Amino acid sequence: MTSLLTVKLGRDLRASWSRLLLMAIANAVSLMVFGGVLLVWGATARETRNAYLSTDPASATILFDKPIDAEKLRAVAAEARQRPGVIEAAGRTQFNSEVEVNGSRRFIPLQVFVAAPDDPMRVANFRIEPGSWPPAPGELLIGRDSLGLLGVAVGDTVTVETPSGDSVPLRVAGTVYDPSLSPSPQEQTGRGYLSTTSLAAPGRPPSLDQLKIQVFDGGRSQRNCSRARRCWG
Amino acid sequence: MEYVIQVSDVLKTYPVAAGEFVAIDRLSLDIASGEFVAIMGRSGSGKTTLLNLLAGIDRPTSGSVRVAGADVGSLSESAMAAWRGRKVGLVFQFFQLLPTLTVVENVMLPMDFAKMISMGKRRGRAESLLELVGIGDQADKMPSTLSGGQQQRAAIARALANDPPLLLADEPTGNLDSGTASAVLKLFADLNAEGRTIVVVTHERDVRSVASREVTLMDGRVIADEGARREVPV
Repeated sequence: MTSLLTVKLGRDLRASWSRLLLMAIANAVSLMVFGGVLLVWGATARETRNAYLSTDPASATILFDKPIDAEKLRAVAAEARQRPGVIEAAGRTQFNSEVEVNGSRRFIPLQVFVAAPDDPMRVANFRIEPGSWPPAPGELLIGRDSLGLLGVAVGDTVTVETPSGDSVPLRVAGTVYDPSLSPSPQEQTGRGYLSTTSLAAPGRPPSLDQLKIQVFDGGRSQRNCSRARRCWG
Repeated sequence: MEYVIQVSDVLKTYPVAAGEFVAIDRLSLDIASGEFVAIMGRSGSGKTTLLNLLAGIDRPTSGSVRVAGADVGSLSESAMAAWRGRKVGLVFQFFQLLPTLTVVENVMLPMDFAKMISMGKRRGRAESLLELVGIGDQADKMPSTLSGGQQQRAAIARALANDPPLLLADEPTGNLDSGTASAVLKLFADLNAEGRTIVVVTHERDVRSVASREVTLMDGRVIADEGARREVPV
């Protein structure tokens, strides 16, 4: 740069210092906001992944053509756990139901997840707040973010319709945080969790139609790795 | 006869929504060294486009433009800038003085770029050029404190900074009152009398009193050329 251009630059800066200051402030604010967005984005991605992995998600879900007896499926799961690479297996089922809360119909469907009462919840699990699995017979756990959507509170009675057509009244005993699912308001679907004992009817043993299995993932997830007891390296 | 400018069959078009707009239409024009040429015509006739081609600010679509010994169309951007700094002085309607440099610094700036004049002599030369154009006492003032006529004189002094053989001026009196315009034209006439080639684009008739040649454009073509020096066959 020639000496005259240096002189010009100096005078230009002096002549428009207030504008330059505002520009610097605007740049700083923009960078801070952009940095903040990046930070939140990064943190959200990290926490979402960690929360999802904390549920020990199933590697695959085998859906049976028709429900089978829960005891039989327990034996199938035990057999599956003996297969090479399979580190966990559990029988489950799920269904969608119309729902009534304290006798009042809701126009939001309820997605109901069902597991055996003695399911150790080592695959596709969720956090019960407060308490632990299983809920007592006749009780239902509701997804935390489904409470407002369905207009239901702990202690209310929720009536669901089972796949066999029975209307079953269930008391809401607690809430569940399940980070493996998208938020209920986003899906416009409530989530409920109950054990097979709440669906059992005289002469009709509880049945399940899903086998969730978890396979060794090569040590990518610490929980999966520790459960497999054989990590790479 | 030595020609400073040789424009041969030049076409200049601009892409527009409707297709190609022809600004200069197969124009040929030779200007001999030492001529004072006024290029006239209505708005949109192609005057400024022609001046931009002569100054190397723009390049022809086809044809050749030779100015001060260089084929303007074939120079690279950096070579063009170096050539322009040494061979061409430009004067604009709105002066284009840098507002944060003093008048004398504005005149010295082209010398800084071209580096044809040693650093120690630049200020002295700039001051003498300002004396030449009649504003030597304004040297250390900022351009904004000068009148329009004084600013145009400063711009002319800046155009002369590297002693170019060719001065190109685009409506140099367009922003001046008639008295000041006459004085500026007289200054151009004096510079021409020293042997410098001057091309002035204007739509003002006053320039007739000082220009030796008047080229009139219409729709990108020369429709009249009065006062051209003719080569006499021997």
